[in-house]
Amino acid sequence: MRMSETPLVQAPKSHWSVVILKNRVMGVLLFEVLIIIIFSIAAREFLTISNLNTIFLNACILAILACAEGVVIITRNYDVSVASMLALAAFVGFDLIKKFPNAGPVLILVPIGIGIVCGLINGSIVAYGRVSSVFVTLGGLSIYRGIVTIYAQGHQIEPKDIADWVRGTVTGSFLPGISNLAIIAILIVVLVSIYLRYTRIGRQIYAIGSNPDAATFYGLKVSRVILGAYVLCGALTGLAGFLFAARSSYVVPWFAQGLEMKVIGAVVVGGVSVLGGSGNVVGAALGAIVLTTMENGLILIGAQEVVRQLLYGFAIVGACILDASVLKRVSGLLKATKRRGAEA
Amino acid sequence: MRGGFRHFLQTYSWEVVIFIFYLISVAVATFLSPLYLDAFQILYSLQQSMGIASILAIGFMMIILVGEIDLSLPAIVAVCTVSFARLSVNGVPLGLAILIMFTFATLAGLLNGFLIVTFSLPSMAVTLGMMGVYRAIALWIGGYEGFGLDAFKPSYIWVGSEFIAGVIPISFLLLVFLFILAYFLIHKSVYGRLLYATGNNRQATYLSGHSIKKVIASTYGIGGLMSGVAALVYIGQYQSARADNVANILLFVVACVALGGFSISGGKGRIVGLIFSILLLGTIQNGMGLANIRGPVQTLVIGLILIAAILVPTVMRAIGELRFRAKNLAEKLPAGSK
Amino acid sequence: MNDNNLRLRINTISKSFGGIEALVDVSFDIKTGEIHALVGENGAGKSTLVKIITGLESPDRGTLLLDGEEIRFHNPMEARAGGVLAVYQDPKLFPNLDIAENVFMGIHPKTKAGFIDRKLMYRKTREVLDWLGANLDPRAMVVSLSTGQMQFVEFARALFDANEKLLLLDEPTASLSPNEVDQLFGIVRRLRDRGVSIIFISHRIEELFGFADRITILRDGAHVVTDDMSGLSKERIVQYMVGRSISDFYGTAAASQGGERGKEGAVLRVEQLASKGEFSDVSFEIYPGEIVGMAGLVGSGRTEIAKAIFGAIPLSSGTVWIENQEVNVKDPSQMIEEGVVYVPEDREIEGLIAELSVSDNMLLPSVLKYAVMGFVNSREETKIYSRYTDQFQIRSAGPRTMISSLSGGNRQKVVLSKWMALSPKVFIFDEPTHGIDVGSKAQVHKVIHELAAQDIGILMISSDLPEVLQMSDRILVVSDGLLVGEFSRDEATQEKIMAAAVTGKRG
Repeated sequence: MRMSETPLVQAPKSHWSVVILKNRVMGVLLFEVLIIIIFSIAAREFLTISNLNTIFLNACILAILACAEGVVIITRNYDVSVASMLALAAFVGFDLIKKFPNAGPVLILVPIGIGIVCGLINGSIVAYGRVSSVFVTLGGLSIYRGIVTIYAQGHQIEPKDIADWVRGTVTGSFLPGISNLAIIAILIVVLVSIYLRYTRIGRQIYAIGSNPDAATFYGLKVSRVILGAYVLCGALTGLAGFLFAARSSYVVPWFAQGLEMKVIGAVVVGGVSVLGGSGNVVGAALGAIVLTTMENGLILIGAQEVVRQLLYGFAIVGACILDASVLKRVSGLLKATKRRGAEA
Repeated sequence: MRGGFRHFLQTYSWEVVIFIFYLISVAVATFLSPLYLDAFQILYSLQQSMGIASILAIGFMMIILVGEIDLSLPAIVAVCTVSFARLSVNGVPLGLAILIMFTFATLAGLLNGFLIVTFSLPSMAVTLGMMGVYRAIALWIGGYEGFGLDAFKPSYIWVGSEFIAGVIPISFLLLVFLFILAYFLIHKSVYGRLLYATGNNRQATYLSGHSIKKVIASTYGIGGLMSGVAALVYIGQYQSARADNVANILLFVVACVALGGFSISGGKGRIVGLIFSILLLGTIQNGMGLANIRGPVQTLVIGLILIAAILVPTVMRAIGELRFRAKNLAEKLPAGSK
Repeated sequence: MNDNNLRLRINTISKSFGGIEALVDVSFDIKTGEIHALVGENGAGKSTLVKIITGLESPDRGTLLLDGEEIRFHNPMEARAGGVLAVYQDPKLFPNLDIAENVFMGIHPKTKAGFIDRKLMYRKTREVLDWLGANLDPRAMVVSLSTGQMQFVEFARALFDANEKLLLLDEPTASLSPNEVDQLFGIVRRLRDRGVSIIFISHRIEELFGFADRITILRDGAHVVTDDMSGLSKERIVQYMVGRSISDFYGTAAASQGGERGKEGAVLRVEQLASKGEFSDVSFEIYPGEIVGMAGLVGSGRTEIAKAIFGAIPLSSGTVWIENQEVNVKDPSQMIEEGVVYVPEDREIEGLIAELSVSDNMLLPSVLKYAVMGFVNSREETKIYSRYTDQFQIRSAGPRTMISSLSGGNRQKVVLSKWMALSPKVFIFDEPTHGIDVGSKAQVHKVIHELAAQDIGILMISSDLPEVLQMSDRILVVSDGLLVGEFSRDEATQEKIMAAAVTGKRG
C-alpha cells in the first residue's frame, strides 16, 4: 500500500476575507479602539475615567439585550419584539414590587418569567408554525405593547414606588469600585457565551443557523432548539427590563419604544451575521459598547441627534454589506474542483 | 353553471372569506352604534384612518410579491412630509414640489432595492438600517418641532383635505385611481406577470430570460413612490409634518397585506384581497375607536390579526395532513397487517 | 441462519416512485471485510439502494439482513447506531463551523461536568484526520475548504467512532484529486482489512481494478451480475451495464440531413470553453438542422456546459460564435436574443413555475414579445396556446389551468413550447425525455426532428443511450468535465459511448 504525500491545498490563510471571518470579535475590538482614539482627539472630555465609566455603564443593558437578540439571530431568525417584551416585563415586575415592597429580590423572577413566556410564544409560532420570524415578532411587538398598556390602566411607575433594594442592585457595588450593573452584564455575557460554546445545544444553535437542511438531515431537533433560543432571549430581555427600569426609576407603558433598532444594530455591528451561524455574543456585547461609545462621543463633540441616528443606520447597512462580501469571497476562494477536467 | 361557481369559490376562497368577515364587522359596528351605517360616515372615517396606510400597502404589496420586505417606507414618508413643508414654506409651486418629492421618494426606494440585489443582502436588516437613515434625514429637514398648519400653502393640502361635491374626499378618489392602476399593473401587464413569476420561482424566471435583479429592485422603487404619494395625502389630512410621522403605521400596512392573501414568501395574492382586507381592518379599527379602545390596545388587536393571517397556511397544511393520515389509517385497519 | 461470512444480505428489494420502478427484486450479498463495487448507468438504481439501506427510504418489498438479523432503519441516525454509515456526494456540512464541530455535531464529547470537552474533540478529530491521511487543521472553517477536502470531513464524520460494520460510499472519488483518491483507497483498504464491508459506488471503472474485491452491476433497477473483480474485464463490465437490444421504441427515426461542413456554416461554435471548477477545453460545432447528442455520466459536466453557453453560469474562458458572429456571453436574456434557448434538466424547478397556469408558463419567455404597450396580449396568447397544444397534443383543460395538474409528459411539452414562439437558432435540450411516458417521449422526439428540419441546430444532452443513438447525427461524449470523444452516427455503439464516458478515453 502506497502512502502518498498529502499536498492538500488549503485556503490562503492570509486572505483578508478569511482573516475577518475568523476574527470578528477582534475586528470589533479594533474598531472600538479606533473610535476611542478619534474621539479622544476630537473632544477633551472624552478620555476621562468618569466618561469611559459612563459609556460602559450605559452600554450594559444594551449589551445584555444584544446578547439576547444575538442568540436568536445566530439561528437565522429575528426577534423584533424585544423592546415590547422588555417594557411588559419591566412594568409588571415593578408594579408587583410596588404592591409588595417587602417581598424583596425574589420579585426579580417576575420580569424574567414574563420574558420567558413571551419567548415561548414567539418561539413556538416561529419554530412550529414555520412562518417568517420577522412578521411574527412584528405582531408580537404590538401585542406585548398592548398588553402592558392594558395592564397599566393609565398608571405609571414612579421613583417613589420603587423599593430601595431595587436601586441598590443596579447602582450599588457588591465588589468595591465596580458597579453591580457592570458585574451583572459581564456575567451574563460570559455565561451565555460559555453556554453557546460548551454545550451541545449551544453548538446546535450555530449549526441550525449555518445550514438548516443539514441540521434536519443529521436528526437535530431543530424546532426545539429554535424555541429554546427564543426562550433564552426572552429571559434575558426580562432581566434587562428589570435593570433598565431600576436604572431609570420611571416606567411607563411606552417604555423603550423603538429600542429594537439599536439592539439589532449592536448585534450586526458586533459581527453576528443575520444570515445565521456565525459570530458570538461577546461580539454583540462589544457592538453595544461601540454604539454607545459613538453616541457618547458624538454628543461630546456637539453633533446633533441627526448625525447619531444616521450613524446607527449606516452602521447596520455597512455591517450587512461587509458581512455579505466576506462570505461571498471566502466561499468563492476555492471553487469546487469537482472534476478532473476542471483545472482551468 | 354550478361547476363554475364552485371553481370561483375555490380560486377566490381567501377573498371571499375576508369579504364575509367584512360584512360581519359592518354588522357588528352597526349593532354597536346605529349611526355607523351611513355611507358618508363610512367613507370618510375609512379614508381618515386607512387612507395613508392603503397607499403604503399598495407599495408594500409589490415588494412582498417578489418575496422581500421594506421596513423603511414609513421613514421615507416622513422625509417627504417635512420636505413638502419646507418646499411650501419656500413658496415652491405644488407641481414642482410633487415632481421633486416623488422623484426623490422613488430614488430612495430604488437605493434600497439596489443595495439588496447588488450585494445579495437580507432585506429585513438592510431596510431596518435605511429606516434609521431616512428618519435621521427627516429629523434634519424637519427639526424636532416639525411644521404645523401655517407652513402649508392651500394648494399643498388640497389633495388630502378637500372634497368633491362636498362628499367624496379627493384623497379617496386618488386612492381609487391608485388601486385601479395597481390592478392593471399586477394583473394585466407584463410587469405583473414577471412579479408573480419571480415571487414564485426566481431560478425558472431567470432561465426564461428575465432579469430578476431588475424586477426586484423596481418593486422597491414603486414602494418608494407610494411613500411619496402617501406623504402628499398626509400633509393634507393632518396638516402637520414631523420627523416622527407615521412611526407606527408599519404594523398596520403589513397586516393589511398579509390579511389580503399575500404570501410572505411571495408570488401569491390579489388586489381584490387587499381591498377587502383594508375595508375589514378599517372597520375593525373604526369600531375600536368608537368603543374608545386605546391606541396600544388597538395595535394589539392588529398584531393578533397579523399573526393569525400568516398562520393560516400552516394551519391549513396541518389540517390537510391530519385528514390524509386519518384516511390512511381508515384504509389500513380492515386489511390487517402487511 | 447466520452465515459468518455474510455482512449484508439484500433480499428481493423493490422500490418504485410514482409508477416508475427504481429497483426490481434486487438480491445479492455483501461479505464481511470486502470492498464491493456497485456499478450501473444513471438511473440504474444504485442511489436508491443506498438510501434504502441507510434508512432514508423504505422499500416497497424485500428485506435486508445485517449479520443475520433483519434491519429496517428509519433514518440515518438509526443506521449509524446500527453500524451502517453512508457518505454521500454532496457534503452536508455547516460552513461557518470548523471541521471538528462538523464531525461531532450532535454527538460532541462531554466532560464529567457536562460541558463539551473541546480539547478532546479537537484531539479526536486530529486523530481521525491523521488516520485518513488528510493534512487538515481541525480548527479550519469548512467554508474555506475545497469540495475534495469537504469530502474528507464527511469521511471523518462517518469514521471517527470505529464501530462501522457497513460503509456505503456514493461516488466518493467524484470530487477528489488523484492524490486524494490514492489516500481514499488506502483508507478503504485499511477498513476492509479491519473487517468492515464497503459498498463502493463509482463510475470510474478503471480505478476499480486492483481495488475492489467483487462487483455488482445493476441495470434499469434490476440486478445483472455479481462476480469477483478478477473475473471481469472492462469491456465485459460495460457490456453488462448497457447490454440491451436497442428496441425500436421510437420508430425508425431518419437521420436529419446535417448542414454544410466548414466551420463558418455552423450555427453554434464553441472553442476552448472553460468554467472554473466545472469543465475545461470544450470545443465543438453544431450545424443548422443537425442533432448533436451529448452523452456522459451524471455529473460529468454536460449540464454545466449547456448552462454556460446559455449564459446561466459564468464562463471563465473560451469563445462562442453564433452564425459565425462572436458573442460575449453575459446572461440568459442576452443569449435568448442571440437565438439560443435551453430546456433545463430539472424541469419542475427550473423549467416551470408550478403556481402559474399553463398559458403563463408557455408564454413566460416571450411575454414581452407579444405585449401591447406593456400589457399582456391575451388574445395572442390564447392563439399561441392553441397552436402548441394542437401541435404537440398537449392535454390540458384550458390555458388557465394550473400547470401542476398536467401529467409529466404534458408538462415537458409545455416547456418545449415555451421556446418555440421565439424562433430560436439553437435549441439545447437537457434530458428532454427524462421521467416521462413512452407516448410523450415519441412526441418529444418528433418535435426535435421537426425542429431540425427547420434548420435549427440541436444539442441534446441525454443519459438514455438508445435515445442518443437513435436521434443523433453526431455524438459528443463528456467525461469529468472534458470532451473525450466524438462519434458519427454510423460508428457509434452503446458500448463505445459508455466506454468513453467511464474511462475518459476514446475507444
